Amino acid sequence: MEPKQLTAADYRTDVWNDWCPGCGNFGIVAAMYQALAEMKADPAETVVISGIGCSGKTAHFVNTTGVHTLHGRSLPFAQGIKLSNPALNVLINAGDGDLLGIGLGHFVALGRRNVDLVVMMHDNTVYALTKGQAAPTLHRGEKPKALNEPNIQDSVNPIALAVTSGYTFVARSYSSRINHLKETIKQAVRHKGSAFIDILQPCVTFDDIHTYDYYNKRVYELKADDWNPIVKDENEIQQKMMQAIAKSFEVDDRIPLGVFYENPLTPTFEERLSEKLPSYLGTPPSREKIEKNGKTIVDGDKFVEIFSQFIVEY
Amino acid sequence: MEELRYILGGPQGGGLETTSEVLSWSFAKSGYGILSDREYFSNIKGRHSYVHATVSGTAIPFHLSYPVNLVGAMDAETVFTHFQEIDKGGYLIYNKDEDNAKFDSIPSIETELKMRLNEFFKANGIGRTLGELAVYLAEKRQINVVALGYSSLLRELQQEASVIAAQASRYVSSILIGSIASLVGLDSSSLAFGLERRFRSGEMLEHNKIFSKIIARHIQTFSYKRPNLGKSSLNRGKMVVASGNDFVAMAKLVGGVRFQSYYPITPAADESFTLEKYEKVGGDHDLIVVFQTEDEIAAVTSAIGASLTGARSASATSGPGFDLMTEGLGWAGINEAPILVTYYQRGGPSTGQPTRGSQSDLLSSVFASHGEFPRIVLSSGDHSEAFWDTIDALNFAEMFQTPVIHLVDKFLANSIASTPMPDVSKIQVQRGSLVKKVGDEYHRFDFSSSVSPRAFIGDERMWYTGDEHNEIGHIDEDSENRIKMMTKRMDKMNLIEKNIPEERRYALYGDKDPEIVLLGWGFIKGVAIKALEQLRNEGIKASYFHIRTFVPFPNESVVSIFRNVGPERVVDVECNYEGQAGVLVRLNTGYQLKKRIVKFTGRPIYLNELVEATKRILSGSSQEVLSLGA
Amino acid sequence: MYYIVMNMNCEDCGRYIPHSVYKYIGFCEEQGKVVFNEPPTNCDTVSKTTMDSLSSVFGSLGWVYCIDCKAPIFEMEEAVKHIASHHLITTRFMYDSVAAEEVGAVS
Ligand SMILES: Cc1ncc(C[n+]2csc(CCOP(=O)(O)OP(=O)(O)O)c2C)c(N)n1
Ligand code: SF4
Ligand SMILES: [Mg+2]
Ligand SMILES: [Zn+2]
Repeated sequence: MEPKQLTAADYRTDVWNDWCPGCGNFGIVAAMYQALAEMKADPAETVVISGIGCSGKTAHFVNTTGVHTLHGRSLPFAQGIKLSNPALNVLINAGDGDLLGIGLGHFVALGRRNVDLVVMMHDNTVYALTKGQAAPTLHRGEKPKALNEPNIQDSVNPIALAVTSGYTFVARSYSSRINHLKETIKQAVRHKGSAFIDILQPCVTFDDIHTYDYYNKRVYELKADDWNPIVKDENEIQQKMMQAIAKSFEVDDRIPLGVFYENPLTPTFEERLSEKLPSYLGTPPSREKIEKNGKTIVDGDKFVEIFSQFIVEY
Repeated sequence: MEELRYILGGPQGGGLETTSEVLSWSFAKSGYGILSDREYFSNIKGRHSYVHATVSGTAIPFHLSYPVNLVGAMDAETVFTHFQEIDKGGYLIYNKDEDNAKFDSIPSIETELKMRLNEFFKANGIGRTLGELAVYLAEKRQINVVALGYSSLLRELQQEASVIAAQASRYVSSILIGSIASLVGLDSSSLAFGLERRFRSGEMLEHNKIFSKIIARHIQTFSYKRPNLGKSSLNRGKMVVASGNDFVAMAKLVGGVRFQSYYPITPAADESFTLEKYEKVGGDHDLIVVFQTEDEIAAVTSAIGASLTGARSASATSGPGFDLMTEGLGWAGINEAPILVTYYQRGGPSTGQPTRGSQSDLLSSVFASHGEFPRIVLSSGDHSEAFWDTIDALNFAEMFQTPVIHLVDKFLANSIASTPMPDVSKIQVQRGSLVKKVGDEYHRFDFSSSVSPRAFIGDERMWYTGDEHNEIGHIDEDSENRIKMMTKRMDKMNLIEKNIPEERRYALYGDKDPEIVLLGWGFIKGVAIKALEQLRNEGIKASYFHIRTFVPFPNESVVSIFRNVGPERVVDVECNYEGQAGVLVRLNTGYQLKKRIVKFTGRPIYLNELVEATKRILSGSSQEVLSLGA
Repeated sequence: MYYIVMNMNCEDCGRYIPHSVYKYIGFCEEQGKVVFNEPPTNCDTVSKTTMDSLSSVFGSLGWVYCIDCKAPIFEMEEAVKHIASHHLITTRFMYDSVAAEEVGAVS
């Protein structure tokens, strides 16, 4: 469809990128530009959806359709878009406060549905755009710069939560391992179902704990020779989930990067819908013809036929 | 008699729905118009609930009134709750097996009612039992008491058919159905039609047919004069018999809604249930996705998302859910996203009276969400208006690319009415300013007109943001851009003012030269129009001014009403405490409504109380607070 | 292949870690102290940015930052242009513990 092959640079808008110098988000958009170029993503059929936060600006920096939504609400906006036009390639950039604080209910609900889209969480342990308060990913006892006292709330475990919520692709990457991140994004896009990537993203302004140095010393990549996250048979689901959850508790000295859990077997929400509505994928809601010459497509006889249960003739 | 008014009561979950539905269908089939309202507690099983209906062969009724001609009781509590509402010469059908039941030992009767009953029984020298009450009603109140032994009737049935144990309560419904049908002389084919609608086919249907014959034999043994509705003089033809929820659902389907999201809430959820039932709208290619979300925030935001891709989309909710939607509403406003929210009002604040009716969310819908953005607020007065307002709301949303709120009240939503078939060929589907394949030059928020060129996500590349944005859709806080963009957006209000004509915003009924004007909205319509008739019979010239759109507001017509009859003679009639439409009248026209009739018990305004209150206003009262209804 | 820096000031040196907003303030890794973009008279170990190191940055981090343009750069060719215009390109910033306190309420 696209006559000329787009380069990574073509996926960048000329909107001024106003993230702090050195922000971990740079690595995230850089990986997205490259992944989109390598996947030859059609800019009109690719939708980047974000919430509110520093992370929320991502939608304006990527030269595909972008929908910058409300704080915490990127997921339901995204599902409305995807379910009414399942041909779209939908990528979500959410903040950790966005996704696991104010929007947590939506996070769990998406997992239960397994809608085919990709959720990238900018894991910077703080509410950056409101100046550094504790995000739900910040561990108890930690005190990044903006906090007066150490955090007294426990953190959520995003990987374990994603696995138990039903996400069928759950991975972690790091914003300054750009190749790893790019490949993970591509894998997540290829995966059919809800994919979640926890992206470690240093916030250079408000998080003086989880710096580049901090992560550089700790991260390591899960390798195929001793780690197999893929569900091959329905019977394996529980065991693979347990394995992923156990792995997700490795957070202090060594932080694993890679795919924790991958289950290609659970049907997507789109498949579940098309099972009861066979024409759904062929003619989804956004492609339905609903009028003929400015009139409804339902004529009087059809109305009586459809709604016979409500009609009585005297 | 011109109309038959009845109350059917019973414990929630005890078969009342079946009784009411079968009778509605049967009356409709034999040519009568019917309005049937259900009143119930926020409870699943056991509490008292009742149906209040008007049946007429001379006009399609849109009002309810007291006293009623008949009370059909499935249990003793119904009799204790409603006996005072039966007119002289009216009928009470009840279970004489419960004659020993005492009102003070029925746990579900609320304390206040027990106290009122206590006084009444004392004052009239009646013992505390159902049996004694029945005797009193027959002897002192000239009520035709139809005392049936429900268990002996059921035993009789069992001799002819083997009762289905798991559906035993259904047979209690059958007792009321059978006895009412027999009392009013419903023809057997209409009754069979009603039963078939409810039970389709099978054993239950057969049992009911047998049972109604058994019951009829018993009813014949009562020598009372029968209530006589007379032959219907209504036009023959196809009628739609459905609740307000169902009318809105039908309109959404034929009006092109292809994505509806919702989170369950009374009294809105039935609409989405119906939509789901018809998810294959009409054949292989027409479908609607009904998306049950995790909350109303997700409901409104997913509907907005769907709208961006070009699907006509809507949601339905009630007060608590609408509160959660307000932030999303503003996003739709700033992003010119067409979206319809059907707002079913119930009693608030907070959980309030979740199963009761109210018109107290008018101001909330007109002012909801922070910041300023164009919106349209419509309100429906009856089932047919609810149908056509839904069609209009969908068109308005897309023509003006802005959120539309459609107010319906619980009274309308949950009452079943018979209405002539809508003329489907008149249904327009106007999709507004659509563009396709513009390419890189496409600007979603082009300054050239207040309604932006709309392409669908998937066809063009575009940007949306809840921040103030430039023509492309990127964040822009420049002052000049802000002025241009705000002005462009808000200018839609002028366009809306121009394109929704004054006649579309209100309706005026009754006397051309009235002594008094009732001003109301929503479900007030039916009872107000009927009240005009009664007042005229009593020599009082009255009219009813019905508001159909609150944004845009019918300024000119309201002003001319005030000028013509004088502010002293305009009476605000509403189901809320503050007189919210009155607030908007004052805000929009500067006129203050000085008289009002309000009701905020959650029960609808009844004909008799409205007529009486209007007369009291005419003789000098300035405020009437209505209270009728159990 | 080496990129030869023309003006030999601190900000042209690979061991200069600039402040993220004021590029004339920086930390000299060589001397372990703050410097104010001086001509490196006190030092003879000026290190040059190499094309190799630059391209390895794009392969690992994915971006460099131009302090003059206040913008991240995501492609090698783009970075080369900024360098040619004597812009200060970096991936590291001098640690600033108070910047956060200077941010107004932003959202
Ligand atoms: C309903 C609502 N409450 C609060 C805010 C203010 N707010 C803006 S961004 C933000 C937090 C952002 O943190 P996070 O989601 O982690 O994103 P980050 O900035 O770290 O990328 C908050 C609370 C808002 N925009 N909306
Ligand atoms: S505040 Fe933190 S997350 Fe936000 S742009 Fe700056 S460094 Fe990035
Ligand atoms: Mg954050
Ligand atoms: Zn530069």
